Amino acid sequence: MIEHRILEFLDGKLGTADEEELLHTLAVSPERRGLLRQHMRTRELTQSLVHDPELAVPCTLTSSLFAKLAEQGLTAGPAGVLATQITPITIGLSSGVGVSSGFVAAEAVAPVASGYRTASVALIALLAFFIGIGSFALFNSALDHGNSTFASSNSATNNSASNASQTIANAISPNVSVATSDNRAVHANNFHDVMRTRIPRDAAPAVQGFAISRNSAHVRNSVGRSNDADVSTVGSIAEVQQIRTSEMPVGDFDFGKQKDLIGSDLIVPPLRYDGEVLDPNTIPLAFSIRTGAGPVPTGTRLVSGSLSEIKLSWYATSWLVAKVFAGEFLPYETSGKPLGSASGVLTIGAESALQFKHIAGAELGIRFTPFHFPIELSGGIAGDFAGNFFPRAGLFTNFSLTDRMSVNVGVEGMLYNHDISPSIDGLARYYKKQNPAVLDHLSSESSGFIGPSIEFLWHL
Amino acid sequence: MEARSEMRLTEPTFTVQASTRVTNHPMPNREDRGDSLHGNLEGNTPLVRTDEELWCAFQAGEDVAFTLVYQRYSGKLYAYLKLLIGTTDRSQLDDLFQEVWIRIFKQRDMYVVKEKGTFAGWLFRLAHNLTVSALRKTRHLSSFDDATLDEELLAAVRVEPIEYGAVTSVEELMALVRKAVERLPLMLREVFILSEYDQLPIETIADTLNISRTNAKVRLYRARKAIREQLIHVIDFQI
Repeated sequence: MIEHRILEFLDGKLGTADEEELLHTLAVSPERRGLLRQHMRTRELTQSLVHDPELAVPCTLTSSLFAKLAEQGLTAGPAGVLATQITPITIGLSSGVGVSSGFVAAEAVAPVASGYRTASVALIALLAFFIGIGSFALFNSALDHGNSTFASSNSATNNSASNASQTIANAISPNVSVATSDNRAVHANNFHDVMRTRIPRDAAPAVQGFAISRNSAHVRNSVGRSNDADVSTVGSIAEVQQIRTSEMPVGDFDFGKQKDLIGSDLIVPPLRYDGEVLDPNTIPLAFSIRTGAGPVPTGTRLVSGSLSEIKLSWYATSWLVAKVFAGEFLPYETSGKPLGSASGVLTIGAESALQFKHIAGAELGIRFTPFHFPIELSGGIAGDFAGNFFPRAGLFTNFSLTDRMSVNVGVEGMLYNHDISPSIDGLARYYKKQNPAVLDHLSSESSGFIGPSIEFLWHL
Repeated sequence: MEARSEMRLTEPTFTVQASTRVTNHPMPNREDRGDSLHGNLEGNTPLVRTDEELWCAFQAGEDVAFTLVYQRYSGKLYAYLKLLIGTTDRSQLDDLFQEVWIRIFKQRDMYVVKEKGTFAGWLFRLAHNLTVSALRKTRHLSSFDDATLDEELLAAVRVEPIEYGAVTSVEELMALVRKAVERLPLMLREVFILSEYDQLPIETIADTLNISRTNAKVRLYRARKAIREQLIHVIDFQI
């Protein structure tokens, strides 16, 4: 009777009152506790039979059975079952050097339905873009009170609530170009061009032939987000607000002589790029680090690839930039893998695994400024030194962090078609003697990523 | 008795209560079932389909559902048959295994979920009937399928502890456990396998074997007790 109670207790089917009675009985009886231990151990041993290879279905038996079932009209073979045994790999991606710390990808803990995948990719793209736009607005505004940048003359002149710097800007011809005292040209037609048009700190700039003191190398953004009252609170440039177009001697305005007035925060006119006056001595180059990560629309992972790279950008004109890059591309690719099975058939299945590809390539970017927001469309191609080429494209906006550093934020995609069949065929040949079941519906896949991307640029 | 068995072979009875889906499968587990990822490849919902849903899909023409069911139950069924009829006649085991699957393939439309209970119960009932029929031909069984418990037979169950030398591997330990199961009388062995290995609930076992629930519980208790007594010297052995 006690043994029956113990077994029911182990099955979890003993009532509360009976359970209390049993536990009390066991507590006072070492022999009965021994009986409980024996049943627990017996259960453990008998359930270990689940892993007994002697009880596994032989491969030949399953093959023979499905051959007979095929004669009966069954169209699906055992491989159809085992195709579903593809084990998802959940590897968190952490891409790139320091700047990429924000791109630690979430693990793909569950398959994502196709509709959600497509929607999520689109959402990520939109989100990244608008984050970039928002960042531009935020940082650009902040720069009014701190970092020195050039400003868009278009923006400035179009803003009715212009501040002192705008006033100066309006006073000077929008076609003006600025050159440093050592004849190094400075160009800017909008905020987007800031990074290639800054005045060197070690050179005394001049505007239209007028020397600007060395201290005026710091120039203030004048996109026009402040009105006169705002500017008056900025402190060191408070007095600048007193300058009005009518007061400014356009023809002989000597910035150098205004040093005492405006100090190191001298406002220089917003500048407009004129390609014809581009000085050959200018170095319109930027070194950058870019990283991005995201899913593939047809994939099953929330994050399926990433790209980290270094770049050298050449700003050929105000709207065209050419770039060369090298980096590491980490996509997921599916490849063949032998799969075991309780049903006894050796199956050549497939498994998705992270790939490491060293890549290099080039891309072109087109820059424009609709609605005062700088946009860059880029496209290019990368190679992995193994004969494979990957097209890439991106949509970015940008903003400045310092006078030497800017950030591009946007969405980027690098997709390619990966052929799975060679690896599966290779394994099938290798295991030919075991007559494996081979997946036949996994031939190719889209790999790579589409997702948010961020690029930090240091301007030379 | 003979007439009843023969009728079951072609027209299994379905008295199992519905929706008693087996959980806590010993093998393969939920992840290993694989069909959870089926939706992955097909772009469908990733939820695991129940046995009954799979069989309905197979009835509707989705042949791959049959292979998924096979994936779930082939190992269980093979172990059930092997432990039940022994390992001496491999060809008989293989024939029986294939016959079960071919039968349910052909009789796919005979299974109706709401009326016939769990798929597992239907599958093992068919396997039981085929096994009984096969064993009757070869071993002249008489009481194997009796609905009443033969107390005298049970009293004669040999419960001598298994003698063994030094167990040095898991394989040897498993062989001892397998031997203990195979030494059980058929009527106890079958209940024990269905319960401990195939993880079928006692209700499904009772309906599968066409015995009362009490009878099934008593058989299971006797089997467990006998196994414990046989393995008494092995119980504390650790690999």
